[in-house]
Amino acid sequence: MIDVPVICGTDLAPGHDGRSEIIVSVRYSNGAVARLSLDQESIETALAGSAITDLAALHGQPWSVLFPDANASTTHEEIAACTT
Amino acid sequence: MYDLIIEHGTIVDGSGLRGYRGDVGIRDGKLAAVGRSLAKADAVRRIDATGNVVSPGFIDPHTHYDAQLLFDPYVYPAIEHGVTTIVTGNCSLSLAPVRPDQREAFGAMFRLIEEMPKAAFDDGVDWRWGEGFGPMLDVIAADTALNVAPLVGHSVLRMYVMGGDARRSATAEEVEAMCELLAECLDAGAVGLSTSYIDIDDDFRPVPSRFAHHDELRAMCRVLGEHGRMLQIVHEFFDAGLTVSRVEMLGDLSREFGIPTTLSPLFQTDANPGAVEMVLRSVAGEWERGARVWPQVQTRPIDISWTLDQRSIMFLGIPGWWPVVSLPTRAERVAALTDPAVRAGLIASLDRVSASSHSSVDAATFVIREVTLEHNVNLVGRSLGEVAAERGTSASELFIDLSVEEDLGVWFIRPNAGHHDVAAVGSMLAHPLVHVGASDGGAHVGSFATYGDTGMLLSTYVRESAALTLEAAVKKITHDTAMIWGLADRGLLREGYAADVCVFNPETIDRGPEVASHDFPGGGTRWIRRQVGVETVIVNGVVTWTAADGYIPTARAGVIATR
Repeated sequence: MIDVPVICGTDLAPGHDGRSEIIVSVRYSNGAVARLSLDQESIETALAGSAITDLAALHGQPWSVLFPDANASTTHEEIAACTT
Repeated sequence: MYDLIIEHGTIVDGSGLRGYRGDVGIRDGKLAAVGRSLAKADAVRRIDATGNVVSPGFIDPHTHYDAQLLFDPYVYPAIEHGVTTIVTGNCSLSLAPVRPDQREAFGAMFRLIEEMPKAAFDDGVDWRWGEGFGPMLDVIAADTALNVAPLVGHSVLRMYVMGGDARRSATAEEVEAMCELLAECLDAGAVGLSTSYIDIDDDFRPVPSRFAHHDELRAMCRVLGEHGRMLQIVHEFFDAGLTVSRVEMLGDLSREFGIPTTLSPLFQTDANPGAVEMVLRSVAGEWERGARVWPQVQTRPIDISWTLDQRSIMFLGIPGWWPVVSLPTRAERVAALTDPAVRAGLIASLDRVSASSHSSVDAATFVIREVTLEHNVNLVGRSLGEVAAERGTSASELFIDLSVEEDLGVWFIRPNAGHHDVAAVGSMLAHPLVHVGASDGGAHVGSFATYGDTGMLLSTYVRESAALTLEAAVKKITHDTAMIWGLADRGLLREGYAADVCVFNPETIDRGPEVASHDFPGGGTRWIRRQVGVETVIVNGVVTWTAADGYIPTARAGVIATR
């Protein structure tokens, strides 16, 4: 079984398109931390229907909470393109 | 006899060498004399440039003016800033080759990525060239006031060859067909190929270029190498590690196929400290190994804007606000904002976040950008902190009260949210391996102005902070750009070169304030900046804009710069 990375930090950041983005830090089971940026559309999609209403509520959640549809993608290529 | 003589100015010729006093003579669209006194020469017209700099016209290497070019041959207000040549078709998107039955799908993708209003796109782009890249350039060349160096988009080539099934790996036959199509576009005048690793379409799916196997890109780079043309990519700029990987990828492609490459944008933010240094170290390494990899850096800072009439993810950073801004109707949001208990909670939360040293949100720094009520017009451009102090209230309270008074029609902006550290950005812009560009001209028109980056370079980073000398800055946006992109006979004031010239006052040149404009087809608001300190702009020997006369209605001297 693959360990799921956990969200360990969030920050608001300026986006290239003049809107806010959210920098999410995720910690892997080996201790490594990666940061990824999510724009308005990504966050809107991720939080649709969820009870999360502020960034602090994301802390400690598995990172899959931000990609609820990843497993439903139709092709492996689409998942790869979304996450590279 | 000259057509035009520009006399008594300081010639900064684009080479980076020190400026000097001299005259410039133009004949038949070319520079016929540079430097020597032309006091006794005859000319149809003379321009007195006393006190001003005479430089090559500026070249903007990252724009999305593709659509605007088709309904506005001046791409207003780009030219008045001194821009005489633009590179279009960036980020995998060009308006050709596009099959007639793909126009709607392509248009939706273009409009989303470049934030072009649908009415402006639909009214302004009539597809009168049919579908081919060469015919589209013919249409542009027949009616443009500035020069165009067009990229062809990778996503567009995929759609053309693969039809509606462009979100998968291409077969060997399809890759071959794309390479043949790319060669046709390059022969017709394309300056290179653009591709994207981050963009999404109107259904929030990755654009077609993101499904290309690396071998597909290699095959296309082989074609670019045969034509000596550029590969442009928009990379995962939010992640320094991925950016370094892309730099290394571009280095490999550059060495293998002998092509120049560029990636954009690279910018500095507090959210990603150390990233710029890491990327530039990687770029330097690729150059040491013989590659050509040019990261593009913009001059302007990143400003963030929002209104309570639309849900912004900024409010996820202020506890209690997201549920309110997520209410489905304006009336419900206004009702919540005026409910005493809800209002008190929102104000307390925003006050706490504003006071936190860990937060990038501070209500007092919000600037009022646009209002709907006449009696509030005098508030535009002022910060909430400043106005609140005058009124004896708090910035958080004023944020809510003003929004309610304006029925949520008021817009706010947080200037200098990123890429605003003048010392750090100045150091980037002056870096010998940095390509000054990434203006995104013509994109995001409803969010912020993409005009005037050259004015900011020459004001903030030359006159005010001395990060670059005037000559070095002019070289960055003229000769360097022409060399990087392989634009022959442009970017220098040299006899025989195209007479693209900008005359400006070095003591005053700048970008003007951001203002709303309603000039696009279909109405709607877009944001622009007018020039400050530019006196005259000449394109291929034709005076196209002057401070005294504005845009010259008959000036249509632009060409496809790669033909």
